[in-house]
Amino acid sequence: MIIGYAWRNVWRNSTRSLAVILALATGLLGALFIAALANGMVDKWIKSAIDNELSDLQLHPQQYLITEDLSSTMDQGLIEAALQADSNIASYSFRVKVDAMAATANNSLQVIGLGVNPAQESEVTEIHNLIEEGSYFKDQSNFKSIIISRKMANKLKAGLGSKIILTLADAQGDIAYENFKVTGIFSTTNTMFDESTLFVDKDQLTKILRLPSDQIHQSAARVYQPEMLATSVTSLNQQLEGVKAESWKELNPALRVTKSTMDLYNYILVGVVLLALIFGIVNTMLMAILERTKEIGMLSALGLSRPKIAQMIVAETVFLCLVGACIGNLFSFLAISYFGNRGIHFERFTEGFESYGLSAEVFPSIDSEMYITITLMVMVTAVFASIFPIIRAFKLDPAQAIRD
Amino acid sequence: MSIIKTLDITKVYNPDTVPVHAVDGITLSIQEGEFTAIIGPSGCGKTTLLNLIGGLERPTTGSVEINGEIISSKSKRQLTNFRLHNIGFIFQAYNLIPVMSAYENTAFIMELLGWPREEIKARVMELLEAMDIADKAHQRPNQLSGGQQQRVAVARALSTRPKFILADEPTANLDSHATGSLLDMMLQMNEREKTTFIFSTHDNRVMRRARRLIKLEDGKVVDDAWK
Repeated sequence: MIIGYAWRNVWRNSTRSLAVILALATGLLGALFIAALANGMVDKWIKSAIDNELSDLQLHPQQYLITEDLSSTMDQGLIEAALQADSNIASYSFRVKVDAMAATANNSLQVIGLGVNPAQESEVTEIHNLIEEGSYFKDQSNFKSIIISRKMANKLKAGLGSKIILTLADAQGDIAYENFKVTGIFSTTNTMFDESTLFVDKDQLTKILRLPSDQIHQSAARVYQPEMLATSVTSLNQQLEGVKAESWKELNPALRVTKSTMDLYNYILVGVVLLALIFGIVNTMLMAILERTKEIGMLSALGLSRPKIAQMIVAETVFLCLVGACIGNLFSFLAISYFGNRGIHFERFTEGFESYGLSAEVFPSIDSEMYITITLMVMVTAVFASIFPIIRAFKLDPAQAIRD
Repeated sequence: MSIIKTLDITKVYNPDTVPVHAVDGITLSIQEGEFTAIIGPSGCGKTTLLNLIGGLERPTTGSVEINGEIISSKSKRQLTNFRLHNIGFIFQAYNLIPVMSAYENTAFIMELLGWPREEIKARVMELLEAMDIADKAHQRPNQLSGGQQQRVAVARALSTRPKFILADEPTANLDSHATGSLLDMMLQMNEREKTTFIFSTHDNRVMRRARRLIKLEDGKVVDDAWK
């Protein structure tokens, strides 16, 4: 009965209640949409880092991770056997890796050269889909192919068909160099990656480095079930001696930290919005109590106990806030779903975004559990907001209230 | 049998600044089943006396005894509970809950006491029929006339069969026809359910129907007459 009574009380002054409801809904919409934007940015950042650079996991010789000595390699056959034995591994590729100097007639640049098997690599990264000009190792000429990014091409003042000389120290420490022809130009959303990484054929780079053909520096793999990634990593580490398997979270801790920080940031953002709104809610409820001084006095005279009065006020406040939260959540859901599918392109800020490895096209997204958590946060806010009006109602003297 | 006893009660407002002696040493005894009016000019202490008897205010000195229980020493929480179980109130301004229908207003106290739904329904309909407003059961107070609203208030006061009903100027806002029929109904309930009614009034129509008139002046009983 008290609950039903409280619900009707909410709509006594519908204009005032709607003002609070709309304020709450708008506040939540704003906070949730900003949170979804930030989330979408980070999710896209993580996805593009996994798709283009890291893959789900990587394996390296432990010694190579410490010394980066090119002669610290691992046996491709052993790695392949271990990866094939794990049912969660969907695809994998083998790489040789070297720090080199890339030079054209116009400029030179320090780069990381990755020797890849194009067919395998297409299964673990998306670079082949990001080719803007030329092709991904499909050039049939006699030249050795090199795939570089648009940004690197600009820095080297190179274009499709340009010659690039890679100078490097081989596995024995001798200086070696080789001519390559640019046969593909790609572009990711990560400026740092684009400016530092180029791709050549693994067999060719292995030869230049004077490494045995079955030795590699790096293996990247994708998994079927990301939630089982940690299990795969642990299992590979147990099986492969002298090899370190790491998930993307370990390979790039900044991504992991940003993701968890972003969740916290989102809740803080909503918390601040609710904190600001609590004053409006308290004010509305105080007005509602003051307007009903006589009625509350009468109810008290009839025998409505203090706990029941408190229950009524809490229920009114919770209803008021819950309606606002539902409307806010609904509109947030609709807005986030709409823009989550279409994406928002921050064209004017593309360069700035990409310099941080972020895409300027953001697809807002939010975990569904966030809506539930926020609804609970709103309810807790409502309970806090009702404390002051309850104290006010408790101070009412029934005889005085009825007389007034 | 005495249902209410007041023993030399006083009520002084603003004792530290400008003391106002609203009730000044009243000793009274009211029997079960009485239909009594407390009369007197405005400001003579009628409402204060009703509030003291109803446990809405505490006497400055003296004691109020209901059914052998001294209520003036009870805590606020105990008094609220006591009122809920023992006393019915009728107010001058009806004081119905505007967002509830006549039915819900009448059922309010029974709901608070946790009566079974079927029992509530039967009692509400019995009372609304007795008050001749059964057809208005689902109308809200703003859809009812003043007389009809006060009948709902009477039905609400009677709903849980309290030991007595305190009615503060219940006819002050009613025309003579509404007053007449309301008093008829209250007398009928007084006879049928043996409910004790205590009015504060300066309405002659009520005084004519009351069986006992207690006259107050300046917070003191100056006349106590049985008809």
